[in-house]
Amino acid sequence: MSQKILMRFLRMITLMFGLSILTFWLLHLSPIDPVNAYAVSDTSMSQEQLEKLKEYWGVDKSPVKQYFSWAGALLRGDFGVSKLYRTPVINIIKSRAMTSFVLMGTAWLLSGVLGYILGAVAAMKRGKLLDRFIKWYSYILVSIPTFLLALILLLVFAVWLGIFPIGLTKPIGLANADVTLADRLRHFILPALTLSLLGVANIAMHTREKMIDILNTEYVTFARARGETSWQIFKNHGFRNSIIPAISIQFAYFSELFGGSVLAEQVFAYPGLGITLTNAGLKGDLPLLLGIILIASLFVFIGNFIADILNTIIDPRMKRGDIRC
Amino acid sequence: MNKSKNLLWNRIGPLLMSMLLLLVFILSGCSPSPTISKSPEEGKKDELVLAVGMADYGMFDPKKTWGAIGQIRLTHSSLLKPTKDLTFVGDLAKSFETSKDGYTWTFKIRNDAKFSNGDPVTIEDVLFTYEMLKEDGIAFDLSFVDKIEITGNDTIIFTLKEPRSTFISQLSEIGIVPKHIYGDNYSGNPIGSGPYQVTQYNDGEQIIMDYNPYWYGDEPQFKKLTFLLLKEDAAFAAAKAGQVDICYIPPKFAGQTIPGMTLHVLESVDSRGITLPVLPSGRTGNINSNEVQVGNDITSHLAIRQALNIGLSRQGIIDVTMDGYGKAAYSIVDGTPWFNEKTVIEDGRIEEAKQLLADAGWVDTNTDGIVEKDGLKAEFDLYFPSNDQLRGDIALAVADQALGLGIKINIMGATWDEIFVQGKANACLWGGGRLHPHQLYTMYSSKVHNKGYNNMTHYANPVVDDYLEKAMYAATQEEANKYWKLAQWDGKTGFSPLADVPIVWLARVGHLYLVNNKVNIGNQLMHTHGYEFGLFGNITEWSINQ
Amino acid sequence: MLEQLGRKEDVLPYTGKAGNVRKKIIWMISFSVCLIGFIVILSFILSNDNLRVNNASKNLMPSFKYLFGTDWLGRDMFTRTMKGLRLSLAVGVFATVISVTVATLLGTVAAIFGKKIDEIISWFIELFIGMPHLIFMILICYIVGGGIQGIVISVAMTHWTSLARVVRAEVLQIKSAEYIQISQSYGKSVWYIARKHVMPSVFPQIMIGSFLMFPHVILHEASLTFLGFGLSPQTPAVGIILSEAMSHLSTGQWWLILFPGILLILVAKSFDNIGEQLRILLDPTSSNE
Repeated sequence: MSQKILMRFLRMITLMFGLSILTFWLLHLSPIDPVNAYAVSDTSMSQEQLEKLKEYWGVDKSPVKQYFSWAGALLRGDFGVSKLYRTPVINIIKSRAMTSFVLMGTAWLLSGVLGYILGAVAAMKRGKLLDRFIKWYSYILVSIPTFLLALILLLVFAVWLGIFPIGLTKPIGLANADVTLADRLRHFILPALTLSLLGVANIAMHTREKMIDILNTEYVTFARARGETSWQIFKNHGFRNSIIPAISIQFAYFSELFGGSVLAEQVFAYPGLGITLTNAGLKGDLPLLLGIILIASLFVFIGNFIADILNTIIDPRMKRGDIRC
Repeated sequence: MNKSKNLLWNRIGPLLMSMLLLLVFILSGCSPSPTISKSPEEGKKDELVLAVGMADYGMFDPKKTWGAIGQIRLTHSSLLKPTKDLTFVGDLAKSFETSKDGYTWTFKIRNDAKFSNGDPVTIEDVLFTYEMLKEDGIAFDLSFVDKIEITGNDTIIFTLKEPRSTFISQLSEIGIVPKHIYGDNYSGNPIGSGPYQVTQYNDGEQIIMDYNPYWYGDEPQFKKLTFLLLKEDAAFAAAKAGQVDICYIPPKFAGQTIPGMTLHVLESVDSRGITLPVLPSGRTGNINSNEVQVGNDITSHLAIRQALNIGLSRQGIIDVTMDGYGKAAYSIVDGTPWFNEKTVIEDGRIEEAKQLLADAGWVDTNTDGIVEKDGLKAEFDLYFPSNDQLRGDIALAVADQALGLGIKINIMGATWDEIFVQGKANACLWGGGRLHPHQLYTMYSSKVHNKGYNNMTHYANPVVDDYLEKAMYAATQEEANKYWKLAQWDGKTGFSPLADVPIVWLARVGHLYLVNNKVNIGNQLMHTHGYEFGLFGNITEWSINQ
Repeated sequence: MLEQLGRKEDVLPYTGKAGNVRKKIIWMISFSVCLIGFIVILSFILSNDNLRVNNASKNLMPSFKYLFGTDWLGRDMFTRTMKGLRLSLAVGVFATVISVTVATLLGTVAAIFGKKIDEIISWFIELFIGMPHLIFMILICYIVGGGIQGIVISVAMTHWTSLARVVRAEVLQIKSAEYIQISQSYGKSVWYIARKHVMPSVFPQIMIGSFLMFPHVILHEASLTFLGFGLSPQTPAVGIILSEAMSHLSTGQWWLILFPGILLILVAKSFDNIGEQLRILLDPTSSNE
């Protein structure tokens, strides 16, 4: 068991390594010159500064050496200096990560619990009105792009009804010290709701399918014949067999969550990593863009890793790769 | 069959139903919702909430380009400042003089100026600021400064490598920072000597500024300013909800009204035009030290440039893209003392433009609506930054009108990175406009070819160069202005619409703000490129309407 | 990721006669095909003149003349939406074809050429499945410089993985089938077997896979464009239309977002529907459940 986990861990390390090589290779192919990208308006950059940048990006060395000097700097936590903010990238990420992680964490938990319940209920009530409703809901949401859903929520709840604020994380003109938790919550609800609503569809459909499979097994038929109620069936058979796949699916959902967060933050002007990433990309701030992407990838890989571990621990028979489709 | 319909309905039905529900939601959303006026109690108003765009770039640090578009007046003071009639007077400088040859600039600074922490602004601070920025070299170009010295405790002398009358631009845009406090984290605690101090900065959200009690100038009416870092639409929504006193709006919103707020249309020198490479293709040059293609076989023909210049209707473009809230532009300096008023032309002359093309050999031989010459079709690409909707709209309107002249323009939205690769071989939708004439030099002088992104069209006219040099070497602003005007048009040649037009300037964008009726924003300075801070040049004169 | 969910029981309430199910499925497929065909035909019929800037017809509500209203430059939103969808469809088809090719190739190679190659390809699949898609698409678009090429490349690089897995599993299954063993024992080359035996059975899977991939591609295209990394503004693409609409929300111009949004969802749903129905049609076990 622990050996398996170790193997998974080593594999994740190789994947991270692979990802950094891929990223570097992409940069290497691109016509964008990271050093040149620094020269902004009305400037005459000093030779000394150019040298510093060249050294960081290892411009004059061979690609392999360049990669190692870059990767080495990354490992030391040196993500370079942001062109837009002119501060170390790592500081910007630190200051903005919390906002995003709280948002994504909440959405992740909410959508996981809600999605699991909906999926299970749908399966138990298969063919009934409730099941159909949950199914339609999931079907429609899967085809709605995140930003569109966010826009609709913004339009209805902020612009029209005026229940929630239009954006930002705290009320206008209030000193930091005076901001209450309730204030933050009010600003937090819409973006979190967007991400949760979307996440629900994914897990609900997975759980529903899994649960239907379970309910179709012979032992459930047998249990029914014995006169067990739906709740007992769920408690004794359904839950046990469906919760772990659900959890691992939810961990594997990190990737979608990050993408969704980028879009939701953009719509709600909610300044976290996503909005910073978008700005960095649009304004050509390569170090910042790369920094956020690598941090995001790290989390996604960890999510996948946890999903794998869960499967290994609970169900050793499960083969690698079966958990995601 | 009945069942199959059922199945279909089961699938599509809920989709349509939810759409319908959505429609109802949205429809009711467009009916005017009651706006709750949250304006504070009468008479005691000394705070303002401002939503004037994503105003945080530069982050209060001159090294991070804070000041380059005039925002420093809030938090910092500089040696000089522009006046309403665009002459330059002392701000921190009590007096200043330029030597006859233009090489030496001497400033005496006032001794009553203090930073917001109470420390006096000393000559050391001024020296430190300039030397730090000169060494940095990125935010401000000070490479023409040879040496900076101080004498006594109030005099600073700049010795230049070559005369430069436009040094006033840096002198009025560089905010002085305290030497003993300035460091890498200056943005986190930006202490300056302006009327306001930054008391809270929530990255990407809002900036709160309070009155600086040590401010040496007139005490402003409003003691607290809150800047919301919202995009246009969110800002407008916040204004609608009564939460904002001043809100920048793009021209496309100008038709919207909010009770209790008035639309102010402020004149700007914020110009938009299209750069048209003047050389034929096949050369290379540099943009920001990137080697790039230079030249374009279509726009290098004067007839094409002139046809666009006289054939496009500037007012037509302004009407459709800015709802009329703009002014026709014929240079990047319209309305300033260094603008040559003789270069205003009548445009929208479609027939004349077509004749001009025909005379130059551009004729539509294959009746596709586009003119050709020597087998070359009058078709070129026009780049614009894809995150700037107004420029995109202008590009679209230009392409639309040009088609009527027989010129096909393909508009290409791109990132700045790409524009800086393509910009010298293709047309670009350029923007600019400052309260000083230096951009005339950087856009038209042949001496700045291949430096930064100056002179994108690679325009070179020896007569114009001569005037531009004389303007730069001029010892007084009046003398400089004379040469700036001659460079535009001296009766024979120039870069204005009357002669070479390497850049066809189209419009000056009106800066539109919805302002709380109670707030009087005074007599505004002409606004520059970038709307975020143009409003605040005269912040100390703002008052409350009775 | 979502393409294989909750499919099997969809025909559940109607598992009467097999023929009936078939009929319904074909009916639904034709409906989806008609909708898409209708949009494509309309996009060609509608004149480009409707897209010219026009000061006289700015910001108009939907009416008989302008079914979807007009935008702030006076362009007809109906024409813009139809042409936008066509462009989205074209980009989608192109990107899907590339991803499907990559997926088929790698999936097949992984299954056929033994354990080592399989390991390597599986590692790559895991690498690409693991990275956050939208974020990497942003990076690729940024590096390529956006535009259609950016979208096509970024989609091709990120969307091939799940189909590759399906293909791999399918090929592995066929490989162990008896007739393949026999064919091998007759000394037929690997390529011969791949072409003659494996491809025909895998092909339906690939077809279904591409239809199910398609909605993801166009939704991602719209998202990227919405953020500003994809297609250039002023090209008539749905993502562009929606992102522009975002800056008009508070002015009450609801028609800028409503109709294009609904059509985008309908088109995505239609493709999903075709793929899903094809799957049921070609995989009888699932329809009987």
